[in-house]
Amino acid sequence: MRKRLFGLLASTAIVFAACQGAASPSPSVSESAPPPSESAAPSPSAAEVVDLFTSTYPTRRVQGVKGGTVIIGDWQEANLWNPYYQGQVIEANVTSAVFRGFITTTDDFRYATDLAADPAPTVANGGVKVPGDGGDAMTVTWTMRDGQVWSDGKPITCDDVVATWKWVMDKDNTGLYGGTTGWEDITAIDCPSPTSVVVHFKNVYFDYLPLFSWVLPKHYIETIPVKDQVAGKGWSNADMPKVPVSGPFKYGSITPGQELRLVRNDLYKNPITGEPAYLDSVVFKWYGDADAMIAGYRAGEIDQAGDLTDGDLPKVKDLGDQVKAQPALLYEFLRPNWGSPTMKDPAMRQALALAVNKDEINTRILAGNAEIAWTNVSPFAWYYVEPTKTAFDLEKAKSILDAAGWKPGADGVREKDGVRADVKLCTTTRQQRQDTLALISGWLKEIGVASTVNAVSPADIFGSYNESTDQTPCNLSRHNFGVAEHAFSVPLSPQSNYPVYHSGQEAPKGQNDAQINDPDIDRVLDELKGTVDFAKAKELMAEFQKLYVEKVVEVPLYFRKDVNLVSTKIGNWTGNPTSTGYTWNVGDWFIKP
Amino acid sequence: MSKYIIRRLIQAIPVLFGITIVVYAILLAAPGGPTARFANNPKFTEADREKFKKAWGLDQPIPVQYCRWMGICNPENEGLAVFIGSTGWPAFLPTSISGTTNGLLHGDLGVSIDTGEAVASRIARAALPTFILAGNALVIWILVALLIGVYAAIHRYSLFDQAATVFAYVGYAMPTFWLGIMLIFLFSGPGLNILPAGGMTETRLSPPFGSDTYWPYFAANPATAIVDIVKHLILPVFTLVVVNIAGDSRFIRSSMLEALGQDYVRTAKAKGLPVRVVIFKHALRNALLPVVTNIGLEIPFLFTGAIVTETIFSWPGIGRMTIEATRSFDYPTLMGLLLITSALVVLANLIADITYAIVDPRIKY
Repeated sequence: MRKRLFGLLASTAIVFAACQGAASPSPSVSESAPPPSESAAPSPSAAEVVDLFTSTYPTRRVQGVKGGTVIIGDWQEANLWNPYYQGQVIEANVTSAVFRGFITTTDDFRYATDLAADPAPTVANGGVKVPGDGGDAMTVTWTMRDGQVWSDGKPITCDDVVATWKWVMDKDNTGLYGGTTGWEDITAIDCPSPTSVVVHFKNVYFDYLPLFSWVLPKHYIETIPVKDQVAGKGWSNADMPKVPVSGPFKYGSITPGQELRLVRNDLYKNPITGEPAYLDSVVFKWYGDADAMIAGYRAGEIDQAGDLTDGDLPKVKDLGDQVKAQPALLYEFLRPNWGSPTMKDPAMRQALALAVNKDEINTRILAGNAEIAWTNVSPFAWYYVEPTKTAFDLEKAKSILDAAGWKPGADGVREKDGVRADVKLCTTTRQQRQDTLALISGWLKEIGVASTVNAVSPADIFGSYNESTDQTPCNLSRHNFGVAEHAFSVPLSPQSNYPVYHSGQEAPKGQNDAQINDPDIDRVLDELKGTVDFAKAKELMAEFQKLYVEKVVEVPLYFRKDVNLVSTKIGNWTGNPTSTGYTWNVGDWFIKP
Repeated sequence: MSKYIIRRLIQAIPVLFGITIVVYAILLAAPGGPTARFANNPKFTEADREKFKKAWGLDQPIPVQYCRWMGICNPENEGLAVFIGSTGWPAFLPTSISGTTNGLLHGDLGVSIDTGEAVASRIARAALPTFILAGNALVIWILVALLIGVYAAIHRYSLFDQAATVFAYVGYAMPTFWLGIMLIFLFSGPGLNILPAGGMTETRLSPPFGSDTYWPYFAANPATAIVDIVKHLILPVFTLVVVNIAGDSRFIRSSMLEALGQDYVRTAKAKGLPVRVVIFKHALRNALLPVVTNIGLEIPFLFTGAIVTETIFSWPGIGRMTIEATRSFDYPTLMGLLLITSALVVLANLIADITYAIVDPRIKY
């Protein structure tokens, strides 16, 4: 199954990733070093000024030479071109090469201005006002760089931003991958000048920074009724070479099933150098199968093989420095259902956390390729704090259960108040997950907790509330599980925790499928929702991470890896595990002489 | 004969109609759907999901969706008025009368939910690569199977016959996906690196096949372009034909052996006719009767059964499109593909029956 990671607005979204490859023997590969500025996790302090904008990338990029073509292989095909409808990783990678927004996300997890001029608006620099002007809850003032133009030569102005907002909010629009969150909080956008954008919000909206990740060309989107765009008119393969774009490349030709050719947009100005891209063109070649793509890379058909996973590492271990393995934003975890008869008891959740040997899972099932996870926050996130690590300790787990009144029955399985300690373990049919749950089931048995492993189709376990019933096996939104194992994409925005962990967000309203109901967690999330003060958000997130571990909201297992094969002849290739994708700096790529 | 062909074509209509009903019901009853792409995306709410379904007509009951797909129902109307076109005439009538443009009856296979492209043009684009792959495979498959089968029958129990038997068993048992990947490992990047791992053209040399720039390139460099495609054809064609050659060579051998033991062959031999005439005129022609039927039924699956082969070798044809459409629950594309597959099966049956009559003069329709 294809790996769907969710291009659009996924930087603020938590999403499922049901299928990635299995890992096997540990390869000898070059691991991309953690971004330099993120190597140490500082302790939060309310007085601390949180700097989200100082990336080290400008000091790491090198001067390139003009010319040449890079061919990128992928085993998934991009086939949607409007950034707001895209849901695949590869589509996000294409979009990053052709469209721009106010800011982008760098490879070291910082925000960098793109269409917007420095500095990006914050409360600290007065660009964000809470409360806002004229009765707004919040007013954000952006200034765009001077002299930015679309690929057809027309200037990129505030009018394009307004048109994008109106297009997103059009009553006929549907299928927007990121929904309308944030957009619907905007009451008006003023354009005091072509490059000044004043956004009025009716609510305080924390994620105002990445909201305008892509600005669409007014003079294109207004030519086709939105209703028709939804039904497939516009943004077509034939249209795209004529669609004005803002990125370093523009669409050359699209040949479905074979390749997509992007050619240099000579009117693009790199925010760092002010120059167009180095490369003449970038070609995406579509393979039907990851193994065939790897073979194609070895044969020299392509310069980069993208979208591989840690499961592919053993196949490419001989490629040495060409293997770029980076910790992904995807973490695998156990999700105890707080509403289930057993897991509603905090003691049982504590016992579960103590009865999981993450090192052994990594060694026996993942061949040591994984990076153990201790919270749901990426170690590279700006608000990450070193978490308390729950060590594997079956004796302690037993004593906690004893103290909580879970007494062993005649068959050795514990009981309390007539409830038998029997846990329904649920996951997808992916073998790696079934093997993990089999191990965990064995450890649970040792502490007197019975369990059954249920492997069901992704459609069953991940089916939405309206598409499932109370009988759908293991369905998350219907709470048909005791403990589920699956994966989440780590959000970069603290706000993304709200719909998943707040007690008021059970399906169909939100995604609190685990029925988490804790006043402390609710308080922290409520406070987070009402602030745009990054220092305060960092402090609140530190508290959230502490509560997350203490209350066993989840049992994180490990972070997966993004793997790319990259020819050593490509300069300035850095990768980027965020939804911006590895093409985030494609304008700087060059062919080494 | 012409009456028979017309009768068979008319009979095919209800068959295809029945197939579309069954396939549509199965497709839409399967778990999951086009909204699976938004699964547990917290920014895509249930309201967004319902809006998306409404926009694509997925909120309607399956019979209504089918009715719209067929072009019997007009999606602009509700209630019993769905059967009425914009001109007031029944919606299923031709567009010029009913004003209805949607649905199969009006030549519209719909729009792909996955790509927003018209299904008919999607399929048309993928048809030529599949035709090139399947056509080459077909010729090679029939020729080689005939040669092996006939030679093995004539030289029964010879070393060649034994080797052909072993090949048949191994070839028939070999999974296509495994064979394809092994061939890539052997002849492409990881191995000898003499054949491409996938695709239809060499990206560094040629524009993509079928693109606007391809045909001018082809006209300017015909030899280079043909060699390029042939190089890309070798591995997928080999993968595709191995199973068919294995199976049909045994079938032909068996049929040929039976024919060689018939009285009319003995008579021909007794009359002193040359061996070549006995084999090719008397034995082979009769042996081909069951073979024709068998091959006729297999041909549609060569076109549609290239799903695995086209996927492994990144061949931009109908098979690969079927996989993509299945992955994304793209109902309109899948229905279009399945309709064409069904039509091919019906057509192949008809061609087999007609060929049967040509090969065997005793058969009259």
